[in-house]
Amino acid sequence: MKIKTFIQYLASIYAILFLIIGYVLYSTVVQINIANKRDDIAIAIVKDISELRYLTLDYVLHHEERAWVQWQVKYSSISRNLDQLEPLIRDDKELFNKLQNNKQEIHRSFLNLTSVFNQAQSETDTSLNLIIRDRSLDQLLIKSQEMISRTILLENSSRAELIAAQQTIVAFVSLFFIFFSLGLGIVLTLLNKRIIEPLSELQATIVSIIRGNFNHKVPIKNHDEIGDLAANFNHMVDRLNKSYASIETELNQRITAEQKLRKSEERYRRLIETSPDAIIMCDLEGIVQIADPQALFMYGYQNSDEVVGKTILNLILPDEHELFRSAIKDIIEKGKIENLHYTSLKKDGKRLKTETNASAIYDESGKPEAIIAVARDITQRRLNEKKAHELAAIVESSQDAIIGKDLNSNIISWNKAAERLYGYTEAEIIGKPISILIPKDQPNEENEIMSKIKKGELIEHFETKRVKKNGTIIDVSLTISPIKNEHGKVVGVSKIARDISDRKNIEQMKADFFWMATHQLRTPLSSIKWSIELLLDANKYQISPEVRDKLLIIQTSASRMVDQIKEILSISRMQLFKFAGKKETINLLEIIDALIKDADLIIKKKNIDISVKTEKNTSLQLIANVQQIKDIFQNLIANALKYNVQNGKVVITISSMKNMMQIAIEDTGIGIPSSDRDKIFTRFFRATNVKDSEGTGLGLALIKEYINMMGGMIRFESSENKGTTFYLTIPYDTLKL
Amino acid sequence: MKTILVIEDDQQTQEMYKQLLESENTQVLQATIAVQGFDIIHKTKPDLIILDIMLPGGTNGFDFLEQLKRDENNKGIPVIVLTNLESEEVTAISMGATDYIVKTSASLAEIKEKVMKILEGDRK
Repeated sequence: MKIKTFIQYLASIYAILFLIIGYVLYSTVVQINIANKRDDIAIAIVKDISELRYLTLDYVLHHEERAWVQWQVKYSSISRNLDQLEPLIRDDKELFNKLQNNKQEIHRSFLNLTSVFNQAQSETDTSLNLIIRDRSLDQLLIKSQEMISRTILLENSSRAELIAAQQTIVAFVSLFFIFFSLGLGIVLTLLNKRIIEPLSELQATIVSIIRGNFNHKVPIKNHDEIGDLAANFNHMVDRLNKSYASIETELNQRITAEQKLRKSEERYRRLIETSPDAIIMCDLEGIVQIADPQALFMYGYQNSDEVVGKTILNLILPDEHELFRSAIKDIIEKGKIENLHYTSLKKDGKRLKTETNASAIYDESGKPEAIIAVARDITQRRLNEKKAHELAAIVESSQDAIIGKDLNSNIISWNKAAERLYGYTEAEIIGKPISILIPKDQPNEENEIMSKIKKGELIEHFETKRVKKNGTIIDVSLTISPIKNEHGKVVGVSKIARDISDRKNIEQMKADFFWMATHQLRTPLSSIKWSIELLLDANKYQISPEVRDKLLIIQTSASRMVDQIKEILSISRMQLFKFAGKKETINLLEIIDALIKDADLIIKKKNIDISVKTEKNTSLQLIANVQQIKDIFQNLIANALKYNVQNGKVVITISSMKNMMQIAIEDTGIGIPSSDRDKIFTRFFRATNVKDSEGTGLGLALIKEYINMMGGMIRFESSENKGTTFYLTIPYDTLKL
Repeated sequence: MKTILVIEDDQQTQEMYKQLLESENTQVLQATIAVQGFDIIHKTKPDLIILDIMLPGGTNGFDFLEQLKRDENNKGIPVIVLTNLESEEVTAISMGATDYIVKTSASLAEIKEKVMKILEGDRK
C-alpha cells in the first residue's frame, strides 16, 4: 500500500473518530448546561414555593394585602420559572405536567382561600368559611409540598445527569488521548519503517555506488513511493552501469586494438628484420632512405650510413643502370613492378643475381613519394635451377622409366623412357593414379608398396607385371624409393622401372627347357632302371656274378642320375615359382614338422636326432608364399641331414625379433671349409668337401634369392667337421610374391 | 580276360609294361597319343588305363583325363597316372585318377601290385 493512501485512510479514520468525540463532547457540554439551568430553576422554584407557603400562611393569619401581592408576585415567578423549565425538560414530561397541575391546584387553592376571605367579610356563615378555608389551606400546603418534592426530584435527576455528563467527558477526553497516542505511534513507526529505513538503505547504496560498486542494488521491500524510488534508482544505476560497461568495452577494444596494432607493427618489424630478402626504401630520385640489416648484409655493407643518403645505383651493376632507371619510371607510373631480374653489385665488387619486387608509396594527396623495393639474392636459385636442369636431363635421357608419384599414388613426373615403356605420353598420364599401370589381378600391390615406402623403406628389384597403354602385360623390375623433404619426411615416391620381359622370357625358356629336359630324361632312365630290375630277377634269367656286378653298377648310376635330375627338376620348378604364387598366412612350425616327416627315410637311415624349439611368445604365423617357404626349409633341412654324420643332431630354433622371425638350423655335419664360405651362395657352386653325388649347387643360391626377395636375410656359421648353423631372418609380413 | 590300355609315347616303356603285365588273363593295348587312346576306348572299353602325363600331339595326360571324366560312358574306367614329377601326383588324383606311379621311384614289383589290386578290386 502506498504511504499516501495509508495516510489518507488513517486521516479519514481519525477525522471520523475526532468528529465523533467532538460531537459527543459538545452534546455533553450542552447537556450539562441544560442540567445546570434546570437545577438553578428547580432551586428557584423550590425557594419560591417555600416562600409562597410562608406568604400563604402570612396571608391566612394576617390577611395582609402585602402578603397577597407578594404571593401573586411569587406565583408569577413560579409560573415564569416553570415556563422556562419546560423547554429544558425532555424525559420527565409527566413530572413537569404534574408540576403544572400542582401549580394550578395551588393557585386554585389560593383563589379558594381569597374567596373565603372575601366572603367572610360579607357573609355570616363563618363556620362554613372556616371549613373551606382550612380545606383550601391544607390543599395548598399539600400541593405545594408535593410540588417541592417533585421539583427536588427534578433537581436530583438533573444532578445525576450532570454527573453522568461529567463522566462521559472524562471518558471521551481519555479516549481522545489514547487514539491520539496510538495514531502518533502508527505514524512514527510508519515513518521509520517505510521512509527512514528505505531512505537510509538508499543512502548506503548511493555511497556504495559512489565507491564504484555499480552492481549494488537497493533492496525493494515495499511497493510504495520509496519502493518506486528505489526501483527507479536501481533502474537508473542499471542504465548507468550498462552505459559504463559499454564505454568500458569500447575502451578495452580500443586498448586491444592498439595493442594489436603495436603487435602487428612489431611483427612487421620482425618480419622485415628476419626476412631473407633485402628491403630498401628510396625516394623518387633513387636516393636510399632506409636499408634493412638484410640489405646491408646482402650487399656486403657494415652500417647503413654507407648506403642511406646515397643513390641506389651504387648497388647495381653499371650495365644495368639504364634498365633500373626505366624500372623506377615504371613504378611511378604503374604503382609497382614484379620479378625484375638484374645483376647487383656488392661492396667488394662481386656480382649478385637478384630478383626484385617494388611498389610506390603515396603521400596524403595520392602522389607517389617513395619506392619500397624487396630484393632477393637468386644466385643460389639459379645454380639450383641449373643443377635441376642437369638432373632433369639425366632423368629424361635415362633408358629406365623414371616415374614420380605423390603419397596418394598419383603420377607427378614421367620421363621419356617411361613413355617408351608404357606408351603413355607425359601429358596423358600426369595426375593420373599409378593404378592404371597395374594389372587388375594385382589390386593390393600398390597398397603394400606404399605402406613400406611410407615407413621410409626402399624396395629394390621388385619384379612384377605392368599394363601398357595398349593393354599388353609386361614384366618389369621396379626400384622404389621414398622421396624425402629436407626434414626427412616422406613426401613422394620415385619409381625406376626396367622392362625385363626379354629377360623373363629367357628365364621362362630356361625353366621350360629344364623341365622338358628332365622330364624326357627320366622316361628312358626309368626304362633302364626297370630293365635292370627285370634282368636281376634271378628267377627269370641266368646271369654270371660278373655281369650281375656290372648290372648293379649300372643300377646305382641310374639311381644317382634319377636323383640328380630330380634335384635339377626341383630347382627349375623353384625358378618357375619364383614369379608365381600368392601370399597367405602360414604356420612355419606346421610346415617344418611336415618337412621332417617327409625326410623320415634319411633320418632313420642316418639315425639323426632332429628337434624343433620355439622360444616363448614367438608368433609362428607368417604371411608369405607357402611354396617358397617350403622350398627354403626343405633345402636347408635336407642339407642339414644330407651332410650330417651318422647318429648326428639337427636343432631348429624359432624365435622372433621385432617384426622379424628368426630361425636357426644347426647341424653336426661336415661343415663348410673356410675357403668356400664366400662362394656358398653362388649358383652351381658345390663345396669342395662334398664328395659323393647329390646336389647341383643351385639350392643355396636360390634360397638366398628367395629370402632377399622376401626382405629377409640368411647367413651361416660353420666349423669344419663340427657342423654348420644357418641363421634366417624373415619378416612376418614378407615383401612380395 | 582283362584289358589294360597303356597310353605312353616312349616305345621302350610301352614294351616294359607289355612284358610286365600281359599274361593269359590280361591283354595290353597300346596307344602313343591321346587321340589313339580314345579310339581304342570307344572300340573296346578297357578295364584299366595306364596314362603318361607327357604326351605328344597337343593333348597331354591331364587333358586326356579331363576329357575322359566328361565322357559319361567311360568315366568309370580306373586310371593309373604315370608321372615323372612328384608334384603332379596331387593334381592327377584331384582330377579323378585312381592311383599314380612316379616312374623313376617305383619298382616293377610295385607297379604290378598296384595294377593287380585295381583289376582284382574290379573283379570283386
